[in-house]
Amino acid sequence: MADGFADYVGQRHERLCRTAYLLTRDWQAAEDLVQTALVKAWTAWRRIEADPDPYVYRILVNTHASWWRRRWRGEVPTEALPEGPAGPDFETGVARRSALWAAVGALPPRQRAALVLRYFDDLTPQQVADALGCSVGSVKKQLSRALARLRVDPALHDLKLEVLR
Amino acid sequence: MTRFTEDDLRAVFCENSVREAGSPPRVSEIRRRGTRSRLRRRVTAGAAVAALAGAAATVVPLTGAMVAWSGETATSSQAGVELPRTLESRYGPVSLIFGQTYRSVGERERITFRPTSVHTGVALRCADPKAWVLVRDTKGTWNDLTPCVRLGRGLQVQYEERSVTPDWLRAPQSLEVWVFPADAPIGSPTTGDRCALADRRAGTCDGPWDREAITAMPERLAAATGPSRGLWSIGVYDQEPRPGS
Repeated sequence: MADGFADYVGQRHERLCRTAYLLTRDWQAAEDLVQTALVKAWTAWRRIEADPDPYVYRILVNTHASWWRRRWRGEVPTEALPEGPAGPDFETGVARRSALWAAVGALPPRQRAALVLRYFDDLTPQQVADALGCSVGSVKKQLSRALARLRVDPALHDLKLEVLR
Repeated sequence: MTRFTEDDLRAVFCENSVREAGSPPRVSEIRRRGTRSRLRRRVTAGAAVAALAGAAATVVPLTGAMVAWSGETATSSQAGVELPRTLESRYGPVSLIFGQTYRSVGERERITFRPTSVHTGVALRCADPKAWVLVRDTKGTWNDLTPCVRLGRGLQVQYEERSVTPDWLRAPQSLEVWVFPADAPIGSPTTGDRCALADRRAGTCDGPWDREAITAMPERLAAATGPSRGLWSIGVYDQEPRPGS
């Protein structure tokens, strides 16, 4: 049991930290979040050993949600938006992605989690649903709302997201 | 009008989640915290069962794995850590006035009792005779770190008029007890004298922990070993209060 767990941690730790960072936007918090998720995974390891990822993602998302409720309720992400969109620079990929990064940071945690799991971890809608503890239909709704909010974000007001495939 | 695609989202996530060097995974700490979490859950579950069963236990701690000792005959699960109702001592027979059985080692435990005479005694029993025991008495003095088997079957400590505190019979007294697993990395008594790679600040000597350092700061060894399962009991014995005292 112990070796399998150590192998899993060794292989997946950095990736999980990156996912956690995309949820928290803070590396220290991300590492704490992953550590907490792995502690819970360790206690259930015999049960989840065959396929630990769904369990670990679910703990990661749920723990982050509980931390957010406890610590950060009512706070608004303060990351500065990029300078005004006018001018040819805005058309460059860097500026465009910078604006998108800021806009994603302003999304509600659940919507952001859906985007991260779907587009960073490449989970299927069903796997995202398992992680979020909801139906596939609810995941699609969360993704759709998230993308809709990005479309109307002031920093992206003249940009358009392609329709979700 | 600029279009964002799913690939833009993927690229944004990938670019912004890259870092130079992160902390390596701390698997040992994960296991320690996991073990602690498991123990807490078992204690909580056990406490719930005990409450439902109307058990006589009157003390349910929030931390640590402990079962109250009610003085009955030991059950099979407590084999090896039974506390007899009475013990002989140099001042005559003494009776059990306080007893508790713990199910984990590697954690600080504190017991409080109310002496009935100045001849109070303490006895410890461990399911694993090689487990290490460290007790700090009411005056704050540590006894030697000792394998449980060396404590014998009688009292480990017994007080008398000159060794008790002035308020011995007027106030509750307490003891701090640490029991470490038999495989805890504890050096031999003479290790410190021939240590090739001593780390006095860390309290280690060629790897194992220096006994003096453990006595000074048992928390550090406990942090290294983490809690684990292990059955042990502590009993406080005393004489019947003298009439008029």
